[in-house]
Amino acid sequence: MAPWRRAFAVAGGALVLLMGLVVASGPAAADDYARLCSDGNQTTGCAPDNDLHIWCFGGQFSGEDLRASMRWAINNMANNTVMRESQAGNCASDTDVRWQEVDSLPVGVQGVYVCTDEVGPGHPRQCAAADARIDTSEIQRVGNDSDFVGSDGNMEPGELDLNRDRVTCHELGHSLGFQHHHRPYYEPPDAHDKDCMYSDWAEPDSGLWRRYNDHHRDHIRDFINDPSRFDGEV
Amino acid sequence: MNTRLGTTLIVTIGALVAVSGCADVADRPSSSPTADQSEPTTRPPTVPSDPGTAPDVDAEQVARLWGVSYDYAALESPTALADYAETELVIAGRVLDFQPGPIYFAETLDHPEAAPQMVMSVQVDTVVKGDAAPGDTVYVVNDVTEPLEAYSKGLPTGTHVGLYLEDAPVENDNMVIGDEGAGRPAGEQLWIAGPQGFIVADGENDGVVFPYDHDVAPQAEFDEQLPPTEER
Repeated sequence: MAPWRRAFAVAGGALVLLMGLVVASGPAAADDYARLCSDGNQTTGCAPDNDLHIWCFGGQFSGEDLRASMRWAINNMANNTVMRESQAGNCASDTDVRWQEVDSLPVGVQGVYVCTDEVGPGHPRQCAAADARIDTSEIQRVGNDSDFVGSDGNMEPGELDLNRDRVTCHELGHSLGFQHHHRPYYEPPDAHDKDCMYSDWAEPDSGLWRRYNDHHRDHIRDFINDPSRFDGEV
Repeated sequence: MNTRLGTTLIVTIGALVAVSGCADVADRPSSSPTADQSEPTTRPPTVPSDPGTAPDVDAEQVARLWGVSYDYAALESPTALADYAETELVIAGRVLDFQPGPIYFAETLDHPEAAPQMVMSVQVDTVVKGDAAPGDTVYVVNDVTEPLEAYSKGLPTGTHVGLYLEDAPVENDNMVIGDEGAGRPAGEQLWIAGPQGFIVADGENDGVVFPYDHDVAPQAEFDEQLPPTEER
């Protein structure tokens, strides 16, 4: 979220938080799992259609570093959540996550997630196929330009690798139904906030940027174990 | 938030209207959709030359329409975003309509509609940066994840928007573009907006929506989302 928008976002966020505290009754509901699918009119951050994520590499890649980061993100998911994974030799219309490298995203946009096949009429909406597009050139741009929030414009060793991993982890997280991690808007992130669903640039001050936080892991665990527990929850 | 901007950029929509009062669609037939006579039975919508007041939108609905989630590093201010080299055009204008656009897809995928696009046409009311004039029409490409009617309903003709625009993607090693000229008259430039660069006004005093961020900001003023100019 743009800094110039954060002050009013805090006010709105406080209202949403208050409402959430009032109505939340399901498991791990302090934020809104697959929230943006709540009215069936949104395809971002939907829940997976099952606990097996089939994935593929689609299109051309400029080098091996990004593919390695994508493999790392998949393994990170499989090792730290209830989700399982399986690589498909070729991408198809029903592949859960189709990794792509692009160099055409707008300024500062390092990755994008788009669900291309929503399923199910209820809540949370589920996604059967999605594209996760990563723009390495934009990751490098942000790291080299202090005009962007969080970047000092001087990439240290490992900083590019860290942010490449944070972005692949982030886009994959959307395919698990995770939302952006924006709390609090008006303060730098503390240790609790450092995870890969946080947007903005990550300086290499800890390994926390490569993880999903406990709350997100609880969400996907609870959803996979019993999706009906989330029916109607927003 | 940049509080300096917050306190100094209180420019009303009325002022915006005043400086763009010369906007006259009828005087700019070459770029206005109203001048396209090639398909008289499907004339595109028009808007009055005077922007008037911003109509209300269903902010929560608009915030959910753009089914794309961007992970991005933010720029500090509207001025920083406008000044960025890739930002070639910054305008305030009004939505005309939505049309099916090109199809972007990775070459090796076997699902050629991997990334269908739509094109939002917007009539320019105020130019903050770039080569455009009031009354021109700009064409902005977006991923489409809902039926076009949903966008037309959420952002009906006349909805006030602010846009920071870059050149739209072109074919490259990673991406093939199908039906490249779709969604706009032949020869018209296609643009793309980033997550900070697409702002929808919800009425005159009800705040703004950032569709790519799925974010409603009821306390925000539309004009504060655009950088100051000498004219504004």
